[in-house]
Amino acid sequence: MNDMQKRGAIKTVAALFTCAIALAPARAQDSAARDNAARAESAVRRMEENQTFSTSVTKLKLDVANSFGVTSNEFTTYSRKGGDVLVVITAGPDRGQKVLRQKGNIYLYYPDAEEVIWLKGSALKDSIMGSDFSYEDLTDEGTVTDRYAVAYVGDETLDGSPCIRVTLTARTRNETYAKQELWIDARLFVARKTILYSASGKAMRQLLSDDIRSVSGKNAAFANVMKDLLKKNSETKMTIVSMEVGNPIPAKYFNREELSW
Amino acid sequence: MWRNRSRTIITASAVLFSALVVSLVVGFEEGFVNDMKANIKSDLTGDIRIMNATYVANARLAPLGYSVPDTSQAIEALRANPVVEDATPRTEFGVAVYRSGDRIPCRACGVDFATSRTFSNPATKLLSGSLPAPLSTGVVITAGLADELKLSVGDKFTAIARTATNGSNGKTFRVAGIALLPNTDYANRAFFLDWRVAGDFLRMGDNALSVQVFLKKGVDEDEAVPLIKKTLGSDALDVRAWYNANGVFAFFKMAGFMYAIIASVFYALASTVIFNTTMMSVLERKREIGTLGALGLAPRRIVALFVAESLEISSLGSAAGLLLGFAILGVAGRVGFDVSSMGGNSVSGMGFSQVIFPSLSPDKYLFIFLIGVAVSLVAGLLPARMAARIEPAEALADR
Repeated sequence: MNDMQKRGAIKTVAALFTCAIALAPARAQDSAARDNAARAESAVRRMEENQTFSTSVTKLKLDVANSFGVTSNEFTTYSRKGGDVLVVITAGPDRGQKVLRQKGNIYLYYPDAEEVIWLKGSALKDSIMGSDFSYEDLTDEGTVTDRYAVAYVGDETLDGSPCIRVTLTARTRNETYAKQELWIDARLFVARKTILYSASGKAMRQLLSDDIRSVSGKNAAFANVMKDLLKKNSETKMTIVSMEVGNPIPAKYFNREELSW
Repeated sequence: MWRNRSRTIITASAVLFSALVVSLVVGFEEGFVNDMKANIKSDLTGDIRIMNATYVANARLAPLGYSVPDTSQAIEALRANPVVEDATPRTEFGVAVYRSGDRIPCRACGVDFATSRTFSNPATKLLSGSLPAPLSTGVVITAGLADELKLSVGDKFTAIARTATNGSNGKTFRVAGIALLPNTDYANRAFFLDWRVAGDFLRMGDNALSVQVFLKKGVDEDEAVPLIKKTLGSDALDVRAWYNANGVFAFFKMAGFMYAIIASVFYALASTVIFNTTMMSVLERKREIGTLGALGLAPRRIVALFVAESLEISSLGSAAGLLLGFAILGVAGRVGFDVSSMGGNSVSGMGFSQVIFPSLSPDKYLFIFLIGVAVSLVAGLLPARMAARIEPAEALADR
């Protein structure tokens, strides 16, 4: 190699070295972003795992507060893997009513009605027991990551608990909420705060969850407060009284024809 | 007056037409108002309406938890009041009738079938079946609802409603009867049930949302309200006369002002004809006026001559128009005017009947006559005053 060739080679190496140094911070940033995105997805998946049981029987209390006072109901939910859920109202003014979710459809049983009501269309937006939860909230199918694109927002502390803040953006227009913001506890993987948005970007509801306990190795929030952000003085407290998982549930509980038991 | 027969007839016809149109417009308006008043009282409020004051203050939210407490006892106390003829409970609410997976919004009304004026109204026709027994799940549905849902007596349907505790409830009812109600508000999607069954369905207990109070004849509503408040002895109740309890009626009364304007327009048009006729008469009879003036007739007497002429024509025209109006209203008042055949569904929700019976009270006839005459008087005055200012020499020299 003569002198000119040597000088050319040195210049090329120097230029490449300079480029590498210049691009290093950007590459580091990209890497951090990818790590956070992965963390966010992982947090959402682990949060979902905490909510998944082969079967569960949960006793809950619902206190609905509005401008005119507080109404309380108690109910038991039976759920099994696959998404079938039966809600039986066991105490309160609506005692005896049942709500069955089967293959994504919602059916209502009223003790004084001689037929089971299949809820569809705009009727799904009706509230359950006068609460800030609607029947539509029961209709979601598939995993969160299937239905929503997960994006990392940041790490925040909520009530002393380190949380990963993520946004979920609906992949299709069929979702009840076009966007959700979650603050997922970074250690327990339970959403401590959730804000639900409409398609127009308006914040519609806020759910605050606390009193996280372990049930058969999975974590669940035993105290939940849902607020309708579009109404004044409207709040629903849903408290888990007891929760049993893994026990067999008779198949007839999830059979629409046998709701009158 | 008969100097120019054709002109006199044309002028009188203009006044006749105006008086006729005004009498018909006012007659139909009065018919609507009377009908609305009767329906509001019998189907909604009674002469006096009693509701929970909190419900009234929040009516937009329809808080069913605020009913008339101890409704039965309240009704007993009211019936014992010397000014009260009767009192009856009423609970009107929205429901969805569930049919083959669809929810059809309807209106439901809990009544005491024995005392409800809706069902003692002679215009209410029970087309089939019977009124349900007290406390049964039998209901009376309207003919329109029966047609739409293909229901007959004995059939069942399920209704779902929001309850007083903000939850929901569903119940299956049996069709006991099918009725045709005169009020268009209940022509289609409506059914009636026992008020206690409604209270149980809505989780209101043994209470109704409102009580309709009917006063004895001759008792003034404004005087009765404080007496009834005293009988009930509760600040939690809203007690008001029917005309203060219905916003649609108040709006319609305001619309009466519009009818007065319409009447004025017609009379204003007629007055231009009177003015024109009198003016032409003055111009044609200039020499005669001059002669009368030269003979010593005072100007105000000349004015009086022409005013009297226009008064005669307008009186004849007004009287003839009103007689014709009376005849037409007499027939329409017996036969009735079918609003539904003219797109009557557009007036649903305003408390009108399907058939309206126009009428005009005697004092209104007199009022319309006098207004017609007064308008003609004013219209004829200006040309008459012009006639009085004609100089005799000038008039006599004019060939």
